[in-house]
Amino acid sequence: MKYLQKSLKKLLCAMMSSLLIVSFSIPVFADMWVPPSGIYDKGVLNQLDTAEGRKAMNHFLSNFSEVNLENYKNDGFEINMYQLNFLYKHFELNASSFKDIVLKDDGKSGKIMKIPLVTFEKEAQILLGLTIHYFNKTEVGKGYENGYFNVTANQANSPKRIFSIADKITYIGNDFKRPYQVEFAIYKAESIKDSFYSYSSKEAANNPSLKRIGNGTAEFIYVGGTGASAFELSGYSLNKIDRSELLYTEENKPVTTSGESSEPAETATVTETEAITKETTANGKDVLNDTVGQVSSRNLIYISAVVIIVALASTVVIIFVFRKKK
Amino acid sequence: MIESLIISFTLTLFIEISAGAALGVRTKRDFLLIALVNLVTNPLLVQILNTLSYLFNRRPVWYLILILEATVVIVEGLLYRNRLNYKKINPFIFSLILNTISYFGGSFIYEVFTKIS
Repeated sequence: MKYLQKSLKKLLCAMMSSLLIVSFSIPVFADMWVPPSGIYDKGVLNQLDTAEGRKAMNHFLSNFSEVNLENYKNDGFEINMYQLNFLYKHFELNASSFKDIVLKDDGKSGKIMKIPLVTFEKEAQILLGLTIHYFNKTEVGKGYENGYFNVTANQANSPKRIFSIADKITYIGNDFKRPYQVEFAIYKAESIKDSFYSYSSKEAANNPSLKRIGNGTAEFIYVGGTGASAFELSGYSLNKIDRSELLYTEENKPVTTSGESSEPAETATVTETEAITKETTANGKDVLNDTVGQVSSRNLIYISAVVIIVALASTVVIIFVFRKKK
Repeated sequence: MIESLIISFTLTLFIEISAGAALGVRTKRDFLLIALVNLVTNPLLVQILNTLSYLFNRRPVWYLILILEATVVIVEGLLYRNRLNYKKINPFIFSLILNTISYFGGSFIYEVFTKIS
């Protein structure tokens, strides 16, 4: 009886320790990731007060306007086909800035872009806040081979001619995932000069060589530091856009290569709809629509429940089976 | 997500069993205990990080990982103190050594593996 009491006490201790881990980590996360408005609010809002700050914000926003992104909502934590397409286009337009991206002929008239996985995941983290181990190349990474993504790049090295200028930044701290909202305008220019990124909306309006083609709003998280990498996009939508001015509408199609010959695969392209919706039939009755590439919160709960049960079962085995030898 | 749990647990188990052997653990019972103790802490730790990353849409920062790892060291140390027959090293130091090796060793192997693959 005494032994049973002791064991139960230890079991309780182990469970309390587990609970301690969980309860400890949530406020710690909250402290780190819910920016105290008194400090961060001022820091971010001041971004528009200096040329360097404006440059960083405008550069950050231009990353998304340059690929003709129309809307985006980061509501999952695994990369999906939509995000993948966005990143492909970003790499295509900035290929010259990435020394490890290889461009080679496809044997016909087009080009194939080889993007190293490490580079790809680094940009996914910087721009969208997606973490490396949540990237599941087997599900969405068609065209992935031997550490590289292979995609068509027919417009590689095209001069960037669309960019954004921030008008107003608002702290929307009630939802800690999207603490800031920025209103911006999209401009088109014959060629992009670096100095445009430092412009305020007033300067842009006064420059006759710039043409305003649309405007929109974006939500972002301030992650600290300087430059465009101080922000991560959590939402993006265009309120108004002159579609006839959109330049880069051709999708980058994944290609599979074999050895040195790089023939585009016939069925390598996967549309977003095809990629995210999979139907399975169980016993001829139930049809499950499973969203591939995004882990639902239900899965998260199931897996967490299994993990907790396994942990508790192991604790019971340790306490009751592994008695110390006297 | 399941993939990250399995990879993390397998790597941790392999490294900690090897490190335990290097530190002088010899009996099957103690090796099995190390495996079970890791089954208590490792999936729980990884799942907490996964859950928080999902909720907050952010990669865990180093000091959060440090706090969680320290909690794991203490929990494992307590279990080792009460159940391990191995006596050469203080159970908390033993736990600290195993977890330090498995954390850095695991990170290194994972980095190498992702670069190769």
